[in-house]
Amino acid sequence: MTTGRGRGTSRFLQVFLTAAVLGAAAAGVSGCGSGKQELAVRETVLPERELVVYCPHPQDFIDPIVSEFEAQTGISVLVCSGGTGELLDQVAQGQEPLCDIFWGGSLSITSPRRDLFAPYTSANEGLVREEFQNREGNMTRFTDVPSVIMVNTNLTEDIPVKGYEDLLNPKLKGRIAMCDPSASSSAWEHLINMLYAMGDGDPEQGWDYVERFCENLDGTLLERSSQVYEGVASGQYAVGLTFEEGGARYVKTGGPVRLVYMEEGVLSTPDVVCVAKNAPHPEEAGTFVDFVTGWDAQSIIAGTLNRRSVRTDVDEPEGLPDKSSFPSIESSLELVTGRREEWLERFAEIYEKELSE
Amino acid sequence: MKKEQYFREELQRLFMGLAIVPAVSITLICCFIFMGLLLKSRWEENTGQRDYITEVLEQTMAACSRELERLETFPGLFDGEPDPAGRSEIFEELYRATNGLGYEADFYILDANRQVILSDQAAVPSALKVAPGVSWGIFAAMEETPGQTVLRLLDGYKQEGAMLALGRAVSQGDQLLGYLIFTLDHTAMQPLLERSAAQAVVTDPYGWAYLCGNSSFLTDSHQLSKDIRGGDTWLSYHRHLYLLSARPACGGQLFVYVLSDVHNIVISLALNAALVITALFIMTIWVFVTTRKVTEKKTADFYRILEVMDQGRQGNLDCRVQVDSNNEFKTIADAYNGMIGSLRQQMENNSRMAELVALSQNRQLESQFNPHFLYNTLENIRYMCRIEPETASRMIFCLSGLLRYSLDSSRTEVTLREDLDHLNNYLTILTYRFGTRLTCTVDVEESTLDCRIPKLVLQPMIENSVKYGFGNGDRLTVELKAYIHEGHLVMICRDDGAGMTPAALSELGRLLEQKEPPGRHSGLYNIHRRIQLLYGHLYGVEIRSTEGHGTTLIVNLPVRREESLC
Repeated sequence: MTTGRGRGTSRFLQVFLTAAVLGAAAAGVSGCGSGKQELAVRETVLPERELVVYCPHPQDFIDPIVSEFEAQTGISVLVCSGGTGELLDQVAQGQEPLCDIFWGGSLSITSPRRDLFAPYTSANEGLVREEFQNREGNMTRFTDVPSVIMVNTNLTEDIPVKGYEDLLNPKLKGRIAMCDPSASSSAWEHLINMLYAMGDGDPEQGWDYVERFCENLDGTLLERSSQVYEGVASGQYAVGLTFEEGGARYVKTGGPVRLVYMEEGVLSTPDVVCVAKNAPHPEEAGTFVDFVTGWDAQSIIAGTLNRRSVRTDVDEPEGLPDKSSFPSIESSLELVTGRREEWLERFAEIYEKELSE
Repeated sequence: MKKEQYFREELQRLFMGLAIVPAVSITLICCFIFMGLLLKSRWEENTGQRDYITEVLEQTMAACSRELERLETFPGLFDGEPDPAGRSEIFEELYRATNGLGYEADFYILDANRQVILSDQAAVPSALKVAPGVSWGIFAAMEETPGQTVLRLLDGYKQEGAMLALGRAVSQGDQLLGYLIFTLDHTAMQPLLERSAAQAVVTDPYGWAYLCGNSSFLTDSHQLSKDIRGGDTWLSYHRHLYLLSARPACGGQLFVYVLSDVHNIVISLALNAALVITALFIMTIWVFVTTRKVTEKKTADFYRILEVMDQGRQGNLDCRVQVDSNNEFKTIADAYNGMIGSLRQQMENNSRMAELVALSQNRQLESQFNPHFLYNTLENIRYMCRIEPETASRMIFCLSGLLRYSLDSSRTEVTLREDLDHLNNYLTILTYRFGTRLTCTVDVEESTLDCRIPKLVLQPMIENSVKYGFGNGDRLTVELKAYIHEGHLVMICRDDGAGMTPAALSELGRLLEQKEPPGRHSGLYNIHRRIQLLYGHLYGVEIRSTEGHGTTLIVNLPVRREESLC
């Protein structure tokens, strides 16, 4: 990802070719008679104001918002995509281009790494719902993301899928798309969701289910969350554990998919938009946070991009069920962030065990 | 040799200088100019396409803008659902407007709630479905500058569906009446790019593409690669070399990038240049070798003449210049050959003449018989006739033998043995003349007896000693020796007589080297001269003498044996 001037063309080649053209022009053999012609024509310039955004969101989600942001503010945005964990590591390593904004990634994953982010309170903080307030000072909530099970309707005609319990159906063995929870925030959310929902509020009680679930995974664990919804939509997998927006896009475009809000309980975790510490463009970063949490952007996100706004003044997304229509459960952010490493390890152990059997 | 190479190299250098260097430079310059011309034409095509696209875009947008302004004044546009008559009138007007653009534009008339009142399209594009009040997309731009036409690229991030939207928010007083929007789908304008082989991309200021002639220039988000947006005129992109020109259009709302693939031109011309250089390299070697051969051939006669001249300078006149070719060199060679021939003829004549002269001189010299000796001997004989007639008779016999020997002109060389025999006659006469006053010993090595010496050499040596050796003394011992030393025959005659003063000795030395016979010491002169005439200047007579201690004559001769006796 380079910025600024083009790479590669050596200085010598440039000078030589230019000399060749000017030499030919000077030789006067050309009959075109175009007269005085400047060769080095570069009337365009890259926009002066820039912003580097590290973002695990799907490309289809990023592009409309970023392009509108650019058009409205005149700030050119460079987006670096990847998995949440991977991007957080890159921010921690100070990889070039230096991160200004970390946009996306569920709170339960970004929160333990919040020392990477600088304090910033968005201009819209007063209009954010109570439960999504930026209590930490550097973790502005962006949207509310419930976990869902995405089901390919063509492949599950005779298989009822209403919640986690149904995923243990032997007919689904090896046909469940799930990401590695250490790599993807949506998979991590599902792990928490399973533990709380299947443990009836006590995560420790949920591990029995995880073991049985892993058995049914049959050794399939994906690398990126996009592989889950793309896999289910394309029919590669019958069901997938993903986040609401990932699946909702396909529902809206009429794909052979539906979303299942788990009857055992749906955990809904906000994702965040944070200003990186030592951001090279702090002013632009602030503008960006204000823009994406603003009413216009949140309205568009809820209206056309299938996500739930964190604002009090923006309605529930069109075509998605109200939050009250499915059983919500709560998790303890402190407990979850504190036990992350342990749980990931435990999940990996169980998965490895199933794999070796 | 050095000279020879110099001349050849000079000739070769001439070949290289006149043929190879200009050929190489002219070819390379031609290659260079050819490449420049090709690139220049590409560049002109490139900028032409760029300017054409810019112009068309600007004209189209300007036309749209004019139409929008005109439509705005059209009465009753936003007055709710118009009746069919009014509707058709408006449609007619709208179609007339969009037809005038030259490109297929869609039109939308929206009310203040962003609901479509009139459109030529059944479906409204998603980019225009923005909830009322939400400041997004074209609406954000229109509301920001009410009463002005705005231009926005919509859905630029979509692979299909990018469109340009021109719109105006129409107000009456503070009351927003609605929106007038024209959209130009990218498919409508795409033919613009097909006019030229140069690949064009039209983007908004942030690189989101509206039109694109080559999707490899775009990112997954349908955005023009930043390498191109920030690229140089000569752009290396995806290992291909492009000519890139760019300019803003429509007041900086759009940017036109045109890329001409010059990779093949540069590669093929570089290959051509490499080929030409290789060919020239081979040609150079070939010319180098052939010019060497040709110059060698052409200069061979020259060097042959030179070599013969060089030999002639060193004294060898036997060489002749052999020139086969029929050119200037042949003339020179013939002239030289003629010159050398006549020179050699001349020299042969000269040497023959010299031989003749030497021969006659020798004859004359050896026939000289000392008249004093004859006189003295005859005087002695006269006395002896009275006292000892017997002895007189023997002396006459010896004298006659001597005379016969010296007068025999048939031979110039004799063996030492023969000369010794005749010396005995002489010594016998001397013994009679001087009696006990003179002691003469002869000590000759046996091996020398066969050696050939000039006739009458020994006698003048003894004669000289006798003539000058007595001085004021009354006894004289003369010793004659002959031996071979270091390949030379050495004959020594030593006496214990008066010897010579250093001045007399040097005077005598000078006399011996004269060309003309001197009055005195003619005997020694004779020997010396004859030896040099016969054997050359290495040989001759050497005199050593110390006053009061006698004189030594040394005669040096080459060893030449009498062949018949061997």
